[in-house]
Amino acid sequence: MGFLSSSVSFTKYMVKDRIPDNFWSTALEEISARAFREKDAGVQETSTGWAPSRDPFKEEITLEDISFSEFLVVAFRVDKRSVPVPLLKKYCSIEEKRTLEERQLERLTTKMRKEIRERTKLRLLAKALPVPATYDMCWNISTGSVLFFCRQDKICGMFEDLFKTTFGMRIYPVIPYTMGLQVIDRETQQQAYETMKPEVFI
Amino acid sequence: MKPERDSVDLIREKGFIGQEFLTWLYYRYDSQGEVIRLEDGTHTEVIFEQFMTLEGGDGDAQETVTCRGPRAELHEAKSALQTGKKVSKARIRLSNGDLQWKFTMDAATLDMSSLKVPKTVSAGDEEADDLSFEGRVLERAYMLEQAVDAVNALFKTFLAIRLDTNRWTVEKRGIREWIFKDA
Repeated sequence: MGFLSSSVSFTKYMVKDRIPDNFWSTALEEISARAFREKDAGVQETSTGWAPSRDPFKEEITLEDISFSEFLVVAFRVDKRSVPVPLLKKYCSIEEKRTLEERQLERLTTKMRKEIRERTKLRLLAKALPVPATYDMCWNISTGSVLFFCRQDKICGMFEDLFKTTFGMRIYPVIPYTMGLQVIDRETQQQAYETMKPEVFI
Repeated sequence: MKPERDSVDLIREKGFIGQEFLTWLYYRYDSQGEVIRLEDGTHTEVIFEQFMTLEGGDGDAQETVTCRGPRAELHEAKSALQTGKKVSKARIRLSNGDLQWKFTMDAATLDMSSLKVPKTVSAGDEEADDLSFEGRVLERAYMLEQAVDAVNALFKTFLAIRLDTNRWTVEKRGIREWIFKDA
C-alpha cells in the first residue's frame, strides 16, 4: 500500500471549496458510485475508479474504509490493458494479407491500414488481462491539503478528473508559486511576490 | 492562488522560485551550519545528503550537473554554482526535535519523493487489527503533514528574506561570497 510504504513519493494538491455539513455521507455515496468494479471495466485500455486503500480489490467501500478522523484516505485504482507492439504488428500483417486476398486488391490505402490496426488492437485488447495499479490519496478535509501518492503526470491527470467528478470540487496542484501564496503575508508581500524576477547570484 | 492560470504555465514562468529556494537552503546549510533559524524563531536541522543536481541556461543551452558522494565531496556543486547554475534537485535530511525525514526535492514542483518517514509503530503492531490499522493511517498522515509543514516553514523563511529588499541585498552578497569562497 503506497501510503504506508517505508518510502513514499507524492504530489501535493489543495482543495479550496467549503466542506458541507453532510460531507462524509455524501463522500461515501459518491465514492461508492465510482468504485472500481471489474464487471464495469470493459475492454478499454484504461479503467479507473476508487478502491479501499487497505484492500484495493474489494469492490464495496464502507465509511470505515475511507474515514480516519479528519482524513479521507482512498485508493485510486487504474487497470491497464496493453498489447505488445510485435504482437500487434504480427496480427495486423495477417489481417492485411487476408483483406488483400478477400478484396483482390494490389495494395491497401492508408485509411484501410489504419482501420485494420484499430480493429486488430481492439480485438487483442479484449483478450489481454488488465494489470491493476493503485495510488493512495490522503485528504485532510480540515485544511484542504491533499497528498496523492504518485508523481506520474498522466496518472495525476486521471486522478484530478475523477476527484472533480466525484466530489464536485476543484483540486489545485501545489507548485512553488502557489505554495508561496500560502505562506506570504498577502497584504504586504503579494505585490513584491508577483513581480519577483529571477536572481543572478554570480 | 490563481486557479484560472494553468499550473504548467506557472511552473515555466515562476520555475526559478524553487531553484532559488534550494540554492539558498544549500547556502545556509553549507555556510552557516545544519541548524537553520526559521522566521517564527524556531529552528530546523537541514542536511544536504549525497545527491544534488544543478541546472543553468535555457532551452537548448540548458546544462545539468549531477553530484553524488559524501557531503564533503560536493565540491562539484560549488563549481557549478560559480558558472551560474542553481540547485534543481537535492537529497535532504530534515530534523525537527526527535523526528527526522529524508527526501529528494525537485525545484520545479517542490514535491517530495522517496520520502522516508520516522518509524514509530513496531512491526508486530502493524498486522494486529483494524484499530492499529487506523492508528497507522493517522500516524502516517500526521507525519507526512509535519514534513510538508517543515518544508513550508523553510520556504516561508526564504520568501520573507527574498521579498524584503534590504534583507535580500545582504543575503545575496553572502551567497555570492560563499559561491566564490576558496575559488
